[in-house]
Amino acid sequence: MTNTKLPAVEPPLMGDAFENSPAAIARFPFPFLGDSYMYSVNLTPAGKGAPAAYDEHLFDVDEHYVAEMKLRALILEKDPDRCIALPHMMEHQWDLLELIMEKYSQDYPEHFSLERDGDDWHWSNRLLDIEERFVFGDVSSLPCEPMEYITRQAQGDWILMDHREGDFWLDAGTLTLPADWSLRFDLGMSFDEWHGPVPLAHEAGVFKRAKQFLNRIRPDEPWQRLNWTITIGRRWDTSSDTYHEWGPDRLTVTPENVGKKAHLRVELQVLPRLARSNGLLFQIRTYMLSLEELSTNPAWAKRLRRVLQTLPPEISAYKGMTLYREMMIDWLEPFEDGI
Amino acid sequence: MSTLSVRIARIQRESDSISRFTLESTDGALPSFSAGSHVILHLPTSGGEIRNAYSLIGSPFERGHYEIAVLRNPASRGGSSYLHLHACEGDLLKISPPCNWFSIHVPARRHLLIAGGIGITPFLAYLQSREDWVRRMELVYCVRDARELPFAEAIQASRVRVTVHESQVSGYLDIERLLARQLLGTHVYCCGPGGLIDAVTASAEHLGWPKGTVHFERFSPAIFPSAQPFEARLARSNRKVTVPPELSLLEALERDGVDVPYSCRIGGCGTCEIAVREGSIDHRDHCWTDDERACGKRMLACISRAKNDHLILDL
Repeated sequence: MTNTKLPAVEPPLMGDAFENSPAAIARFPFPFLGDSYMYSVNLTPAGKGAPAAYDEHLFDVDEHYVAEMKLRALILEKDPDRCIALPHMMEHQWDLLELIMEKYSQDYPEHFSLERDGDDWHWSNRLLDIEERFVFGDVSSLPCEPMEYITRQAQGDWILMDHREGDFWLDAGTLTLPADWSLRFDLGMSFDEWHGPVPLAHEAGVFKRAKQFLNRIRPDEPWQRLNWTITIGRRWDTSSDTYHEWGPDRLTVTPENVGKKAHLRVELQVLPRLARSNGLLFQIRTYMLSLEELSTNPAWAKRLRRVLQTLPPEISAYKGMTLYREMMIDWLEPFEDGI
Repeated sequence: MSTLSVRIARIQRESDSISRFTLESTDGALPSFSAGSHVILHLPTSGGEIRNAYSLIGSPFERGHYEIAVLRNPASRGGSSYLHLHACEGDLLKISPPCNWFSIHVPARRHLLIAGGIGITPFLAYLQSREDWVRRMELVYCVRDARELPFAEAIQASRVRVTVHESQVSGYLDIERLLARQLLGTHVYCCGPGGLIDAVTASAEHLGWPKGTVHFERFSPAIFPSAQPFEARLARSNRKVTVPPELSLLEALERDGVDVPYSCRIGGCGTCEIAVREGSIDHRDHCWTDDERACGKRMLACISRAKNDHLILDL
């Protein structure tokens, strides 16, 4: 189903900035615990993984940090609306800045440090060569609002939810690497509203249970879960806002190139309660492996194939893989050993 | 559940019956908190450990210590008496970290705070929260006798509009009149005796306030009204736990070494939900809907009890 009239579809990949080293492949958060997949709440305590694992720390920083931050800067330059906060979210913004600076400086002291003297803070980010002295709580002492300031230096997407009326409202965030959704579109929505398009899960009561669970997340006990989809090309920014740029990629998959083009995209979602605003943070750390990279671990390749074979058609359609699902299954066929 | 270790750094008398406790960490800074949060104190009383919730009354921007206020209550099951009679400066205590079931509805245009007596405590933190939130607050403080006005200094410092309602002079506050003259977009928050909260929720409903604009926090149940003893049979571990009238099911389980996750301990958050296999439940929570209670298969261990002499629990 190739169409030669389509525009060139492989995105400029900033050279090899996002290529995965063997170490990155080894610590990839492979999401499947069994040979089939269905939505569930699947939350576990966050940041409790083994040394060097993707979840050793609350917020993971890996070899793509600098490339990801450069990409974020480029996207924000083109589309400043990828970082928006409603006016009542200022306390949440400071909460986020404090949490990231605290965790980064504790967990990666070789790269980040934070010195505090009351509200006079001194932040150093040696990876991006940034030194900042500012007054905590005083927006005018930073070059921009606190959420934008810190998320330009923090890997992953960052959604701030306000907790009121027993619900979670998507009232602020920085979203430059979304898996086919849009911050501009979802801003201000309730939890059920922004999860509206997900198939089957509403009927199964997943979101009702998830909301009850989120209600009870305490500041001292953050949680995490994994989610996944398939992305064509090593496309980090698959926002609904730029569908016209990446959507056509999906028509270019052939049995010959599917191993290089199809990527298992996994989101490590981390949910800590924000201490002073009582809001909830939803961090989305994205990892991507092409089928070729993934199949360096044959057990993963075998399991992914079985998951794809048994995936309900609604989920396959929602994740946008109907066009090339069979090609992936065929490409992964050599890894099926029947055991 | 994790606990923090704190030292009682200072005990100050706020009034004849209220003392203020300053708690300091024994190992570094204390976690930040949001206005309306409480901590659970684990109190080693002579009758066994008692866990009571107290609102944090200090500034959410203060990182070094927590402050709570404790009313001496003759009807207390021992927690407040322990703090008033036995606790000393320098004592070490275990507390659970802050948790909030009574937070500020930030986008509201105005916040009307109604405090009854010691119910002022969560609002003391509200009044020290972000300036742009405090600017939209107004406080109605109901006391029996205004000659003794606990926390007057802290309230004045906030510069919000305060009305003190003295019930021995003016009788009960006319809640309906108060709510009727509020501007559209106002949220009301009430903390105080049950009667005051019931009056606020009933008046708001009568006046047609949207449900989400009414917020309240009840006190820890000092006693369980008309509580009867019952037996909890734990089906999975094949054990029996006796629940006397003065203890909640949660407390009785804890005394017998059965850990159930909890947070507010006053039937307001739903954390201590347990599954019930058999028996008729006397639901006393204020967080579930009637439908949720009617299913008869789940209960909140911190407040609900048995209607008859036993329950069979999935524990």
